[in-house]
Amino acid sequence: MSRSSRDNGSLSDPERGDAGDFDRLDELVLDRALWGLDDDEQAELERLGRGSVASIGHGTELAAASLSVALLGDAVEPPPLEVRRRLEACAVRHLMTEHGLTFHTVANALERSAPAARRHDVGAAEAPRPSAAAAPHAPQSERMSGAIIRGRFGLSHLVAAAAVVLAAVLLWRDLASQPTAPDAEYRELTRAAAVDLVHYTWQRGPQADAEVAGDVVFDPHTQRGVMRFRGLQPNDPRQFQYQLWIFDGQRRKEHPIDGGTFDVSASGEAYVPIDARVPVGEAFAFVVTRERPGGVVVSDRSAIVSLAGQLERL
Amino acid sequence: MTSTCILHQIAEGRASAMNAFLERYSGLVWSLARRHSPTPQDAEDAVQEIFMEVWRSAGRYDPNVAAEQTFIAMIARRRLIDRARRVQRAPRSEALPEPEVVVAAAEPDRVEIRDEAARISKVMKTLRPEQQKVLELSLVHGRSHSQISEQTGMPLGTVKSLARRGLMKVRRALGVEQPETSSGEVTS
Repeated sequence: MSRSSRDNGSLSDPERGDAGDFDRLDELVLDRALWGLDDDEQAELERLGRGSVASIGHGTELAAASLSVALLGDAVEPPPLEVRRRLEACAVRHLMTEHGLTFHTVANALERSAPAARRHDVGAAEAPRPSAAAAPHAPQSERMSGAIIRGRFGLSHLVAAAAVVLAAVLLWRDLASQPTAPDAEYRELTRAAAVDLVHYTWQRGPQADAEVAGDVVFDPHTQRGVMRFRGLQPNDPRQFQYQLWIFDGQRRKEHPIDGGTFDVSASGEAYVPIDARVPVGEAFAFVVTRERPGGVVVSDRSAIVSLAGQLERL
Repeated sequence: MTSTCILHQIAEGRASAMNAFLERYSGLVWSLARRHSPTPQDAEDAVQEIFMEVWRSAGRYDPNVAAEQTFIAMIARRRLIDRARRVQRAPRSEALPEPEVVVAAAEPDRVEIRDEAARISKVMKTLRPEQQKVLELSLVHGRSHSQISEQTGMPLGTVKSLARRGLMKVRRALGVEQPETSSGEVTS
């Protein structure tokens, strides 16, 4: 860890509080890294940190992480095969949605790289685990003998291929339930691959008439976003319209941002650009309600048809 | 130019790096998740959640600040602590803040980074056995301070101070700047 991994300049600024506050602030920083904080402690940290709590204590968290890796040492164990397969399926999906890669590109790349990676499994006993004593980037294959590789390559290759196929099947089954994107904007957005691009899958809301599929992507930097739906009831805009609400972590959740109204055609599919009325800071959830034509300023939330995001924060 | 850092390759969307990435770090994340999670199912969900976040945050990784495995372990620990607290106080929960490890580095010191593991190893030798035990139960097994107190028979205050002072030692060894506090180091 470099000298630049200091916890925060404000911590050591004697003009920002007395020594007792510094002690307590540091105690809270340490506790957060060790155990996490309860609501009261978190509030105290925010008070003592004077609003810069998000950037305080990263050095301490990194120290805790580094120590946890060291303490784990050689007890690192590979995940069960089914867990690894789930991760591979997630990886395929991530590369497609966040980086705009095609399924074939991803599948081919994974398959090409899988045998080399799987060979490492064979030498797992002697392979360096991410431990304090191991160089972080040392390739595992460097420690394996050619004989071991040759002896089990066929089996490992088959296992790798099977895993890729399974990941593909899982992903394909998942994508099959998604509406087809009219592409241009959606692909452009996902290809831009902003590091903190928000991407969530829709879930059926309590007042939905049927299952709802699709997803929502939102780039906080450009404030652009797109929603894809399948399964929403087609609407007559003279009768009612759908309205999007964006829940912003930087605002009170009682006051979500109006994301505009939209309609669903007879096909039951919709492709809707997001039109937030005000800048969105940290979009953590998206909710669609059924409202009167033209939408409302404040929804009574009596007709929620679809939700996406970190719903536990609502 | 292609990045040699695997997290940056992931951030660039290089599919060919994904297998190597999973190969290298799935064991670390799984091992932490399994120990922190109440059930295997919970551990599986946690691992998936952690990797999704790691991939999304990969572009923020700064090799001048920490080793890749440290960055990943930090995200893993945050998520695991967050999940544990979510269970404890359901339905209300607050996600831990996004990692912000991209700290402006005036003069990147790669020697220090390579030396991270050695420093940790060195400082661990200076920790008292009970201090090491408390830290292991907390950081590796995800035990709360009250659980550690119950398990070891140590008073709660002792557990807290042992863990805090141990982590302070590690923090100092890694060069993380902190304010001078009155709760100075206690000699072993």
